[in-house]
Amino acid sequence: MRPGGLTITEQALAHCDLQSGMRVLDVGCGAGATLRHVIAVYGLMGFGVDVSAELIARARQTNSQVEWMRARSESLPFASESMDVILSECTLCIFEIDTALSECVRTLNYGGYFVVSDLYARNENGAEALRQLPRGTCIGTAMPKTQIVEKLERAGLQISVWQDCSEKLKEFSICTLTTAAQVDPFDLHIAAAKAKLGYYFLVARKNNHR
Amino acid sequence: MSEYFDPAKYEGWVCADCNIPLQLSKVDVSYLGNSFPVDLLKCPNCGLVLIPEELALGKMAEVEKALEDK
Amino acid sequence: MDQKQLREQENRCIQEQAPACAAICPAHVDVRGIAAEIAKGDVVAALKLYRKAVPFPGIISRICDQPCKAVCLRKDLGGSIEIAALERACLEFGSSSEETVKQLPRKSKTVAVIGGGISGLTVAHDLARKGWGVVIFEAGDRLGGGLWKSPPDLLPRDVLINDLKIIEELEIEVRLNMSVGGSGANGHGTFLGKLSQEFDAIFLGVGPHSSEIPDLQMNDNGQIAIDPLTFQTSNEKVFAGGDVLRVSTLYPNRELKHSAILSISDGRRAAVSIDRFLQKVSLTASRVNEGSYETKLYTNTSTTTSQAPLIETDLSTRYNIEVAETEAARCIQCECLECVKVCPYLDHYKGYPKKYIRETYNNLAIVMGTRHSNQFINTCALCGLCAEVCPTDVNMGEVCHEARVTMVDQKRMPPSAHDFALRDMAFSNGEKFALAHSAPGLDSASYVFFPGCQLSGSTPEYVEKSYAFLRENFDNNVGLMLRCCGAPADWAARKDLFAQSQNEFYAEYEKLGKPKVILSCSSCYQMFQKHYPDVEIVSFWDVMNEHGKFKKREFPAPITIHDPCSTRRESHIHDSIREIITKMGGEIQELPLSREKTECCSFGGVMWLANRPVAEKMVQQRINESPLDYVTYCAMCRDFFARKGKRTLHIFDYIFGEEKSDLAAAPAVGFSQRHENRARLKEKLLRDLWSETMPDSGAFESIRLVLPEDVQKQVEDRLILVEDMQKVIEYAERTGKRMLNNSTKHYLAYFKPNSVTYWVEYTKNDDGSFLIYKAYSHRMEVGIGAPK
Repeated sequence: MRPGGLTITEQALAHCDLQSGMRVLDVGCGAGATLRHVIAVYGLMGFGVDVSAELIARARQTNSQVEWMRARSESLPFASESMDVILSECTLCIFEIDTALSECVRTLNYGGYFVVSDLYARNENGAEALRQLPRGTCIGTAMPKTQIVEKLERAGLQISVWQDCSEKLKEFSICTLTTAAQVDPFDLHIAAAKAKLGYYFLVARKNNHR
Repeated sequence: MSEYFDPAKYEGWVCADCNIPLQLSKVDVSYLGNSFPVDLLKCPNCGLVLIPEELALGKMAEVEKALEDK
Repeated sequence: MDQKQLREQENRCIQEQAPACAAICPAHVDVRGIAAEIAKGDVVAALKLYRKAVPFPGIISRICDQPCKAVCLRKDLGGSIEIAALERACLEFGSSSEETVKQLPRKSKTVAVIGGGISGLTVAHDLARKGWGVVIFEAGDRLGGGLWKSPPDLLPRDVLINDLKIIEELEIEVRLNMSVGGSGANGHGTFLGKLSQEFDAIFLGVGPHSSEIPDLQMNDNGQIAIDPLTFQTSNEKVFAGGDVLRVSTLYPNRELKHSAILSISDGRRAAVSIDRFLQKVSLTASRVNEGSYETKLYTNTSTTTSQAPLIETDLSTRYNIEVAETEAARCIQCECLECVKVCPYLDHYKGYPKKYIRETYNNLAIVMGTRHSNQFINTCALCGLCAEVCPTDVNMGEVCHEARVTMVDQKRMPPSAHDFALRDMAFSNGEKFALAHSAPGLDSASYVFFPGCQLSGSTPEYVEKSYAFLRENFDNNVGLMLRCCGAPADWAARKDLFAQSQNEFYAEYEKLGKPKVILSCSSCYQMFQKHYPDVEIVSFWDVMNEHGKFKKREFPAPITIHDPCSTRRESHIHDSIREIITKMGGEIQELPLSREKTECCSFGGVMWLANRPVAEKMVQQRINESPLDYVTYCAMCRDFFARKGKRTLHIFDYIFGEEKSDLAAAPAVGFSQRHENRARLKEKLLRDLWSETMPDSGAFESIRLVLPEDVQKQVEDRLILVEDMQKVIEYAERTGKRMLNNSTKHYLAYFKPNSVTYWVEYTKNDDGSFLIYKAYSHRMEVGIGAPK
């Protein structure tokens, strides 16, 4: 479950020139719903990683064509320049972002697509309010756009599309995004409102090595 | 337990209509299109909900302000 | 919002203009900043500021002709700041051996600097620090040119030599004994011709003898043609400075004044041109305020006391650190802030209009409003005092009002920001108060009295009496109109609600035969002037002054007058009020800020709802201005001051009030009572004058409440009205929907008449009334989920 669901995935992939047989990796694939959809619709070869053994086990039961692996996104079990597309949906800000980004860039082919959808702080000055929340929520680490863009560019990615889709967040209770049961829902909404928590997707490409 | 009010302070309250004690249960609260569930005292029969003074003037007012940008 | 107007207001604010000293200094030395740092005891920071403007600080601090001293605002208040002495003190006490010169990485292009005088050295210094390669060609056998002519006791040679060391540190190549003039015909034969082939740009910082430079075009006056902005000559690679520039630009004035600081300025400006030329960017873009200019900054020195320097100072004086700090502290620290000084609101946000307008613009242009900026916009009392005291008429009220209009248009106005005031307006325009009648026995009216909702809310008896007075004086031909003028909607930028109120007014006004409207409330007066241009209006106070028969009263002490801010532009009303008081025998002592410079009581612009802490400051500032009793002629000013314990009278207290009772100490009327008073006024006037009865009241109105004093205060603070509580109890008792506390036997119930949910804890008394223990409210909705 994530804001926007498969609608956002499809919107984002519409900006990529996909050919059947391309290799797609979903980092933080969970039980694999997105990946199953994507390989079926676009005829891609799928790879999914997640840190949760339980989710990977569930994913394996649903589809055997996809290579499901338990791994951290900060240390991907794939060769360099082996993927055409990497999806990171509602996962980027729970990763150790710099390490995960350099791993994804390493794994991507030159010119390969990095597709992200995630939370972000639309009010740069309010992002501090999010940091005050107890640990264990992905909301607490949401960054402003400038910072996300800077991190991607520094990792060697060129952003071609950035689309705000915060309206999807309104339809979605942000309480379900936090696994930490001890978070006061009022505090959570106060912080989210101060930071103007929003949702976006982006499409970036790995810079050519020239 | 919830941090936004102390249910122990409200133990004596019953729903006068149904004559049964209020129980802590999930209730949706919403403002300006944002909705989320919280634990509040509620009549298990008719659904009457008690909003304590300290919640109305405390966390609720803060959420209102933050969502309003006021 | 009209962004052009906004920009225009922003540009008008002069607070960010340089002080006179820095503006007149051709190198723009930040004298004010340097003085501030030294006064604070931070000579290192002061030296940093000084070095930023001047590449040869030792030299300048000893031979500067200090044009700043002629324009210093201290000049006639003890004597201009001794800036050169302060600069020397910075160097003496702030220098350290670890200072290094920052230099950008070396670039490939090179520049020839012809002439090793102070302007040439400045060009060489600036360009070398930007990374360009620089070669200095000097005709003599040492760098420094005319500097060596300064008397050594004024400019000690070790200081001169020490300052010039930077040329070496920057690895600038120096070729001595190289004269630019000389042989050769056109083009390549000349020295200049050769240099233009070898170098990417040339700076010509030579003497006035232009005939020696045959390659450059002359202007009509026979001088080398030099662009006065960029210092570029007819050869795009060649830029001029020093005497050759002066001779050309000041022609036919042949008197060459040698000023080291001017030479530095010339060098800096030429270096900017050359740097841009080498980078191939525009030479002319945004080059404002280069060289000496006159500032537009205004500084009020009316309260500055005269203070002379501790010791007599000339260009050879050396200060010890204490003397330097004392001298620096004499700096007035010129700035405008005229508006900020009189307005607690503008002061509260720690800025000034230029900054505020910029932030407001950003808040509106970037669709995302932020809480801070929204609250800033909604806190302004819209009273216009800022514009009154501003040397350039910047009006933050206009800015904030326009910003509110935009926020409402963009649907970004916080729903609760003005809710209470708008509901109060709705009450006044509802059947409980709104009334329009010609005088008893007449079908139409020549005049209509419009007392406004707040006088009716505070002191309904004065409305009755003033209406009687008017009928007596105008042959009974005065109608009565009770309603709201729409001010809350205007302040909240709710054009829709304002238009609705206006339409209702016009319908009644036309039925009455378009009478002249007599207004006693100054906010109404302002609204009518602004929004009802076709309606003829008269101030009640002008009528009263002209027709009233005033008895002499007892005035135990002088009184002072607080003019409501909405009368700012109505001097005729100010005069009438003062005449009335004088006729009654009162002695008036004016407040420092009165009449067109009067302050707001914090009711204006719905400030009191938007930001209570700032509103409190506003009231407090006003009531602290005099220990005398205040007399005003606005019901809200009166009650806002009285609420804070200030002895205040409404002028009606003198005219119609009981002489024996101490009306200045009467408590302020609460919000619930204001509704009650308005409704009773209408009821009484209908019965007494027109033999009519009020329409039926709602069921909730028969609920009788008992409010202990502390609860009364609590509900007033929380803006909960008696009618809100009555509705809760009526609903709870009728439907049985309430909670019961088994030990206290208190009931707790809620009701949501509109957007706010009200809660009341109560018990029922034996006599059928209800005792209230507490009441509170919230806007969040319960049990209703957002669409999923």
